[in-house]
Amino acid sequence: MVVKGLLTFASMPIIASTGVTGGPLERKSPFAEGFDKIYDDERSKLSTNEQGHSKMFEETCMIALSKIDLLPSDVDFLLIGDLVNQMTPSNFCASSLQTPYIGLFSACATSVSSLLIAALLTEAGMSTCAIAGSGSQHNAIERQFRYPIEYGSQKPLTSQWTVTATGIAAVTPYKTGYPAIVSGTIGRTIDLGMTDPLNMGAAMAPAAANTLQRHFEGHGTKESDYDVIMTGDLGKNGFNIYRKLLEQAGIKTSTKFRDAGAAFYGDDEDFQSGASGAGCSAAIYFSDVYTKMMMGEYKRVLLLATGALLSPMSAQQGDSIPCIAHAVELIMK
Amino acid sequence: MLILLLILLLSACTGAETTIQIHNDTEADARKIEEVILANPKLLQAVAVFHNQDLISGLNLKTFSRFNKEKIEKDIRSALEDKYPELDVTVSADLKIFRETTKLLEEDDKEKLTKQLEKLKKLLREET
Amino acid sequence: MDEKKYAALEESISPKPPILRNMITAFITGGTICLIGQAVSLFYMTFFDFTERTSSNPTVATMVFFAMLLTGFGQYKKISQFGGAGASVPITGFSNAVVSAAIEHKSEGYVVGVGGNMFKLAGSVILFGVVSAFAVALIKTILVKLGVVSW
Repeated sequence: MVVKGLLTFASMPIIASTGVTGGPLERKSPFAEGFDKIYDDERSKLSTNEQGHSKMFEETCMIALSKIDLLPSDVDFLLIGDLVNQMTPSNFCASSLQTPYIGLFSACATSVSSLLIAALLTEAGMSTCAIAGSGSQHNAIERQFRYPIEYGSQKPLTSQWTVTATGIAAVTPYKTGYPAIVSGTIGRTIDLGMTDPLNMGAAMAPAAANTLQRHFEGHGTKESDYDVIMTGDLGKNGFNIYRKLLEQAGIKTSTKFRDAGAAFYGDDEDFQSGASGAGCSAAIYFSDVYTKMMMGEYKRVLLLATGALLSPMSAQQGDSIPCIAHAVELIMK
Repeated sequence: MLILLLILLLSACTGAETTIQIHNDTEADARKIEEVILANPKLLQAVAVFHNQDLISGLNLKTFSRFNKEKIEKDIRSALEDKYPELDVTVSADLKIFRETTKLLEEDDKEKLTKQLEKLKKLLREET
Repeated sequence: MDEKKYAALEESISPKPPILRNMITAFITGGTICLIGQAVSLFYMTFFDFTERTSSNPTVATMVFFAMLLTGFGQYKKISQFGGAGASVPITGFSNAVVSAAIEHKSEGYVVGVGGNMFKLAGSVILFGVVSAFAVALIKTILVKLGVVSW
């Protein structure tokens, strides 16, 4: 079978720096120490949640840029996205930063899809610094997709908590000493008829399994080549289903297989099946995974961000939830 | 904890005798109402106040009989209207009326008694 | 993998809701709310001139007030996560639905935001409540006219 949608980056663009921020509740995460900034106020004292979301984006981009002594005016492309309607928080951030901007939507898989596009532009020689990433803000997204924040609906065990977090990566041409982007696989939209928006892990698991298999087959790699294979936000339930699917396909799963969403809040039961949101994968990939690569603990990683491509209306209309997963492979030389 | 719960639950099943308390300052015969009340097994307690031309009776029903509250009230009312045709009879199983009427048992001031009885009758007429 | 097989796989792995536990917690929560309601009702009967029948009005208003306070302080959702259906009981649950929507949409202004969205969740309760009340009244009127029941 010829696998389509594969990307190989011969010039190996690198992630020169990252910026990761989290909201007040994310302090509870075992990963919080690796974040650059934790906000005390999700709105940053602004009047709406969406404005606070935009401010988080802006400040996280500035954090990433300041680490490599660049200004927004030095950036070639801004490639970010979020989950709010028409992506207005990203749009307002772009307006503030005044960098050339393309908004990208892959739901919660945007962290990787934006990274791949940034790498492509760098590979084509068109970009000296591209900013990629995604973010989410709990209040803004819950009110859009589910119920008002204070509404008392009992969350089932399979539901996930949308994080307030933003993860940004600055992608530049190759330099030694930084994690390099070597290949990627663009996901195919997979829909196996799941309709429950409170059990998104189950909807996304097949997409993650499919992309992983296509990446292995298309690039000729296998599970043992990597130090960690981390999916974005399948959550505890989705991760179990994903592992079962892989085992049925003949891929042995081990402790190398991890999920950012399942691990985000540790074992805290208040968060049911774990974390989700466009910021979930971005925050963990660009803090924990990036740091471990810089320190040499991880030499080769495969990151699969997963996204559920539904809208509040499609769920109400009884449609199923199509999902996607994008994969990116990073190497530390 | 469980024992406390059990005691709490069982204390409702007192299986007590029907009792009645009466305040009478007219020439009406109080024994007739006693017969009516004591004959009805669904009542737990009753209190009656005779004054001028009025008879007000408050009833306290057994817990499960509260489902038939309206019917029991109607039965007692028609029975009492039979026995005391010259009096203006008011019967209610409402908790408020029962309590207020119990308070009136001790009341000796005729003026106050009349006013209170009027107030009770007005309360009963309120719909909401 | 086809949809049916995947559905079967997902069924076998996804955690089932703990129905017995949910029933017990719903009972405790709903029962406690009703207990508080009864206490409020007795309070109005004892200290004010309300009969059993008329005390339901201020009791309902007071329960709505309590639910509003709890929603505003962010506590009602915790009670609801514990008690589930027990906290969705009418009056307090209804109050929570309306108040939470009102709080949420304040950012869009009072008229379009709060006014337009306040009944987002409670609207169907009101609509179907009124429609079913109408239907029941219609049926009863017909039966009374036919002489089967009396008012």
